[in-house]
Amino acid sequence: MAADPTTAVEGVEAAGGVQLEIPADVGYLSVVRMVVSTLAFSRRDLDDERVEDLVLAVSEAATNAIEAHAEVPADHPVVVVWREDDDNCRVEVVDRGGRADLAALPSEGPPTDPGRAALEGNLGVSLIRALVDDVNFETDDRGTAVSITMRCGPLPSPALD
Amino acid sequence: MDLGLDVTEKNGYAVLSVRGEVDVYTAPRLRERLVELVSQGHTKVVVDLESVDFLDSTGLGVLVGGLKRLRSHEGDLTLVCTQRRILKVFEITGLTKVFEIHDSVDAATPA
Repeated sequence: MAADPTTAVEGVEAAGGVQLEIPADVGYLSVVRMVVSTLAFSRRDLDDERVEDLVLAVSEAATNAIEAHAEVPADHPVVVVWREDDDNCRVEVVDRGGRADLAALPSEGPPTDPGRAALEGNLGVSLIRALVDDVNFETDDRGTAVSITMRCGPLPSPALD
Repeated sequence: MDLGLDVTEKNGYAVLSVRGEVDVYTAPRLRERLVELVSQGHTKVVVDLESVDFLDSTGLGVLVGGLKRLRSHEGDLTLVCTQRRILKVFEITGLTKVFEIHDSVDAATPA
């Protein structure tokens, strides 16, 4: 399958990352949140509030990814990838829901008309931008990858006496 | 994951207590419950978010929709929330200016 989204994330697990594939069904969002929360708490030096910010941002990105799959055959998964290095953890949410209109995404900064923004359902990207240290959107005809980064060190190793 | 929705009445207010996670999966049930309260003739609605573990942008949208629906019926929808992580989501989106947010159900339902 030439357009398999998993080709974009080959070798993740060999490099200490974690890859989760979920059906494009909003019933699986709680699973994504649980996995990201568990990884962040167990591996990274992040306080509770920053973990919650990361989890909400990933949940918003995964929601958009699942919604982008509305017109796509049901057996194509949404892929969530956890990667980390000494200074950052990064979660990528990859869909194959076709090209997204990145120019239509809200820009940085709080929405100017929050009531209207909430009704039109585009608050999710504003939240992602506000909650995390860095976010990057890439799209092509196959789909969109959202890369969310939190700066954080690994959990300190237990002291060796 | 489950969403708890319980309605009680106090001093003429309908108090909708929400429990659990509000996301795009569960938010339709919250929306239905709010629509039902309006169609039953309630105009003063308080949504108690103290037992909410997670609230996303879809949940915010449903609350804004409920507020607009009630205001179009000469009513109002106010919130009870002291959880910092939930309040933060309202602050980021500017919705603290749109909603009246109380510290307790008592404060939200004056006699």
